Amino acid sequence: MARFSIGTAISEAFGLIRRRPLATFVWGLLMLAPSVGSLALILPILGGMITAIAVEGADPDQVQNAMMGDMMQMQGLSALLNLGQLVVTVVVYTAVMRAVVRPRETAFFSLRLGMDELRVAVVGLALVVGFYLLLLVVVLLGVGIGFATWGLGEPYNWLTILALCLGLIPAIWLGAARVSLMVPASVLHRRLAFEEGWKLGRGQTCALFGMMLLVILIMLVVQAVVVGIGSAVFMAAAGGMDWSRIIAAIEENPIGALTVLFNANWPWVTLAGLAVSVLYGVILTLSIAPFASACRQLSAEVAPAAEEGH
Amino acid sequence: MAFSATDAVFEGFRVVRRQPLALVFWALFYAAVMAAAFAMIGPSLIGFVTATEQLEQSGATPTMEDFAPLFQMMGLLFAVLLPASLITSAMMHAAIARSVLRPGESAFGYLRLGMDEVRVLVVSVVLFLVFMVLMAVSSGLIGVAVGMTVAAEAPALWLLVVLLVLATIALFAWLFVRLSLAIPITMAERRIAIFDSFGFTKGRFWPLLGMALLAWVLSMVVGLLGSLVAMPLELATGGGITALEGLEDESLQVILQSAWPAIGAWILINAVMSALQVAVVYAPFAAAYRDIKGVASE
Repeated sequence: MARFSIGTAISEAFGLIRRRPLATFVWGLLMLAPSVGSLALILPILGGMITAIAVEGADPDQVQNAMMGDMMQMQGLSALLNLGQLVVTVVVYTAVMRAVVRPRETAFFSLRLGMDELRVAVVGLALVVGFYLLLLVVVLLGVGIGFATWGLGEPYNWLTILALCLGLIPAIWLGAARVSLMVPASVLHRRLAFEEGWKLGRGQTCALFGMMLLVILIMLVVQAVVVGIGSAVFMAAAGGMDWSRIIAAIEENPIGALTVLFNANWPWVTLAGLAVSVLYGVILTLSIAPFASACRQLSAEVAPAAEEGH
Repeated sequence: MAFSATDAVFEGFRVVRRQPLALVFWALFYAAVMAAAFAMIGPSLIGFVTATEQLEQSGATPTMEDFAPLFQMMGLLFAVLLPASLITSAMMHAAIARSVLRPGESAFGYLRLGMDEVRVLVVSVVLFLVFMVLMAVSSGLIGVAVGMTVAAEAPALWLLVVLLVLATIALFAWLFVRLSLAIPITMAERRIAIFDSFGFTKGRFWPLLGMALLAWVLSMVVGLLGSLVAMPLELATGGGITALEGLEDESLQVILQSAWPAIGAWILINAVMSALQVAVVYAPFAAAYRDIKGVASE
């Protein structure tokens, strides 16, 4: 049976960050941009709404009408930005996988908008839909079992619920590990590789699950370290500030005060945004690249074996 | 060519790439149908939406008398919409199947109104009735099972009710897949062939189910990408169909004068999106039939 090395997969993710730091930063920046864009677009609208409410003696009907218009505008913008975020997510995820499975395609930070991206979107969405369908079946069965065993009385009914939950959570994680190679396999094989991904994951569920846990642990450590350093820098830089005035202004008009605060300190906010982009890019690469690497390792082992078989 | 679900699922895109004009014809056809439908039922539709909103906002628990005018309006809307949508669907389904099975007949974006369309309409109506009857029977069975479980005061029977619901869903999925090639067969063989689909789908349930789910997911992706274009257009032209609010008592002329950019943009966007999504969802089934049967496209 083909095998992959968790160590190789994870070190390949770190290797990618080391080899292509600018690409890692751009991936993080792209993922962050829609969130920053939504803040920049929605904060002024929210601020205007709060100011309109606070005006004394204003006609409530007029305020309500104006707010309805603002709310519609905000909802439209927010929906548009959410969609934009989805598209960016697909493009960036595909770029990270492409950087691992086809390392020579480095132009534009491995970012493209083509069939690979469409396939990743379709496979990803299909997995999400499949997950929810499966969850629906499991929940229905759980409800049935719950009704059936409720009559047993305490503590058996609670023990049944506990057993169901304890069974369901690892099952979801193991299931996610089992299908985790379908998306990278689709980038590697340039087709909707449900079958290839499924076959590659056969007999690897525990290893993939273990890698998933390890990746989460590494991400937690990286986040803790970066947040720790960031907090220390922030405390050192902003320690002498008069926070009582700022807090008072935020309490009076939170959105307006935050807008003023951001505008007044835009160089620092930009710097923080760039730092967060780096962190985001690193975390993203660490969470996606190992699975792409595992997929490539397994495919490389399966292909020669198949050739030998002929 | 052997049948591959993951290849067949992209047939809608292949059709549009092969004959981009077909998409233009389909979108124009949808736009014309939507515009005609709007001209016929526009004021009634706006009135229905406003009446529903007023009922919701009144806060009181609505009685059957409150619902009566709504039902009347809805009946009127369906009397116009149902036949129109059946004929429209039959023409579109036939056009999409034709584009895959007889790509040479590309005039008018494969759209026709002939015997093919009549046969597709008959097959669609029969399938609709079969599923409705099954739905009624299965709902009745589930209702009886729930009633018996409550009456017997046996909680363990709830598990059987859940299993019955899941079995019903599975039965519908199975039947949907087994009958899914009825329209392509009818188009290809120029005869009404409803149950021949069972023979063609035998032993191919899972690939066809996967293909159907993937086609649906692809249409969702198309819808999401389309929304990226549609939303700014709708915002720029007055918030889409919500621009019609407050115009319920006006004549069609006044409605068009006040909200034509919003109506026009809404019709245009929905026409293009509907045409593409329908192609993405239905073309794979025609491709599946073509590949299973092993027929070369005419």
